[in-house]
Amino acid sequence: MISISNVHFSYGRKCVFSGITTTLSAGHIYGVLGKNGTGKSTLLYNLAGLLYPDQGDIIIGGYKPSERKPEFLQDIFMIPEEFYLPNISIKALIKYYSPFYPRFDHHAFEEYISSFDIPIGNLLPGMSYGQKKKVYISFGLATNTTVLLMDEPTNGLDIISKAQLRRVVAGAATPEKTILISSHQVKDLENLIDEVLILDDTNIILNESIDRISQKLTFKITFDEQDLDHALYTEPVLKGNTVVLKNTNQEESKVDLELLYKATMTDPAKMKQVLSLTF
Amino acid sequence: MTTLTIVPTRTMLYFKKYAFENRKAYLFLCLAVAAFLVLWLGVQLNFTNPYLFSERVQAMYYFITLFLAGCLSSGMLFSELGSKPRAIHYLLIPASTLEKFLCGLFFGVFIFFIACSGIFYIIDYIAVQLANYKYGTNWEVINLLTLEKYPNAFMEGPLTDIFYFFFPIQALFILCSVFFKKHALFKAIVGMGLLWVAFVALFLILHRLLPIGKFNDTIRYYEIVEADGDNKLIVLPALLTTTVIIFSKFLLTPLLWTVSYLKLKEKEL
Repeated sequence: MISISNVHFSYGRKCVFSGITTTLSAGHIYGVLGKNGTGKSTLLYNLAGLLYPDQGDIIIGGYKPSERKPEFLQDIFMIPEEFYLPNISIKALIKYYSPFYPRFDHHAFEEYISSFDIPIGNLLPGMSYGQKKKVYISFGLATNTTVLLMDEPTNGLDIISKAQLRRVVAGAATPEKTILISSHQVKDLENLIDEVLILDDTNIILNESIDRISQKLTFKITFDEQDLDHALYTEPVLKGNTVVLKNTNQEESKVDLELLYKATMTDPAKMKQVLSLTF
Repeated sequence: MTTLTIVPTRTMLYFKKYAFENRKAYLFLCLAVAAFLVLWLGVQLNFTNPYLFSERVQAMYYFITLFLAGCLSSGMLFSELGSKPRAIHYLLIPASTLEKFLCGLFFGVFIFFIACSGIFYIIDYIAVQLANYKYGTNWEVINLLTLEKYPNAFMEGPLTDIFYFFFPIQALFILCSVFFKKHALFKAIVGMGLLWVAFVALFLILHRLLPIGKFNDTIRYYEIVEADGDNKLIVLPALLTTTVIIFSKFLLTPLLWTVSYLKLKEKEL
C-alpha cells in the first residue's frame, strides 16, 4: 500500500504539490492523468525516492522512499519516460540485473519479450527506441515488484505495440501489485486502468475507481435536448453530442476516460460532488 | 525495520555489474594514459638532454601523469548523475548507497591507481632503455614501490609525501562529480583554481602579519629572521601541529570521501 500524506513539493518557487493526501491500494492499476507540467512525473519520482517532498510523508510498504534502502528498491520498479539501458545484450542485462530483484521471473520475461516480438538474443545498442522501451517494460514487469511506476509508457510505441502493452500490463497485474501509469494520452489507458487519479494545479482533483465512476456517470452520444440540458459536460461530435450525465437510471455505459478527464478539468468540484452522491 | 548497509552477496553482484558495464570505459582510460605517456616520453626522447630520463625526472613524469589522469577520471566518476535517465537508472538499482559509493572508489581510486602505475612502469621502462641506448647513460627505471629513495623534485621531504596531496585532490574531484549535476569536471578545475588562489591569499596575509621568517620542520617551528643574525625560534604547540599534520595527511581524504558519500545519499534528480 502507498500512503501519501500532506505532501508538499516545489521546484524552486514553482509549487507542484500543496499538501496532497491519498492512499493507493494493492491490486489496482492507477491511471495518473493531468496536463503537461501538473506533476505526474514528479509524483512518480517522489514515490520512487528520486525526489524528496518538502513537507509531508510518503510511506510504501513500511519504507520511506527518500531513504532508498535496498529492500525498498528491490520491491519497486520505475519505467521512466526517458530511460537508460546499458549497451549490452538482453541476455547480459538479465544476467547482471535480475539477481537484484528476488522475485524476478525469467520465464515471464521471455513471454513478455516474445509478445513484443523481440528476439532475446538481440543486442540493446542496435535496437530502436521503441524496442528498447519494450525490453525495459518487459524487464520491469518480470521483476514482480509490488510497486510498478510507469511514466508515459506508451510514448514512442506504435499503435500495435500500445495494444500489446495494455495486454501485457493487464496480464501482469496481481492482487499484491500496485501499478501506477502516468499519461497525457488518456486514450492509451482505456480498458487497462481500474482507478483514475487526476492532477491539476498542485492537487489531486479526482481519485476514483472506474467501477464507481460508471455507477455514478453515464457517457453517451445524444441529440436529446433534455440530456444536453442536464449534461455535466458536453462536446459536439459528427453524430450529435457526447455527454457526461449523472447515472440516475443505473444505465450501463463504458467510461470514456477522455470525456471524464475533460469534465473533471472543467469543473472538478461538481464532478467530486456527483461522484460522492448516492443515487 | 533494520536494513544492512552492506550485504556481501549484493555488493559482489553490484561490483560485477559495474565491472562488466564499465570495462570499455576503463580500457579506454588506460589506453588514453598509455597514449599520453608514449607521446610525452617519445617527444622527450627526441631532445638531446640525457637528464630528461634521470630517476628524479622519471618520478616527476609519474606524478604528473597520476595527477592529470587521476583528477580527470575522478571528476567524471559519478558523471551519470548529471543525466536524468542515467541518474534514475543508477539511483534505483537495489543496492545501498554505500555499496555503490565503495564500488566507485574501488574502481576509480584503487584499481585506477594500480593500472595507472602499471602502465607508467611499462612505458617508462621502455623509454628509459631507449634513452640509455641513445645517450649511453645508465639511468635506472624507478621502482614505484620504493619511491621514497628518489630525490623529490617538487618540495622538501620524501617523494612519497606527494601522495598526501594527490589523494585529497582526487577526493575533491570525486566530491565535485557527485555534487555538480552538469560540467562537474570543469567546475572541479575552477574550484581547485579558486582554492589555490585562496591558499595563496592566506599565505600572503600570514606573511604580512607574521614577523619576517619561515616555518621549519613542516610547521612545528617558526624561525624569525633578525637582521643581526640572532634568529629566534617560536615553537608552536605540539598538539596543534600534530593535529594539522595528521589531518592533512591521513584524515582529509577519508573526510572528503565521507562528504561525497553523504551527498550521494541525499542526491535527488
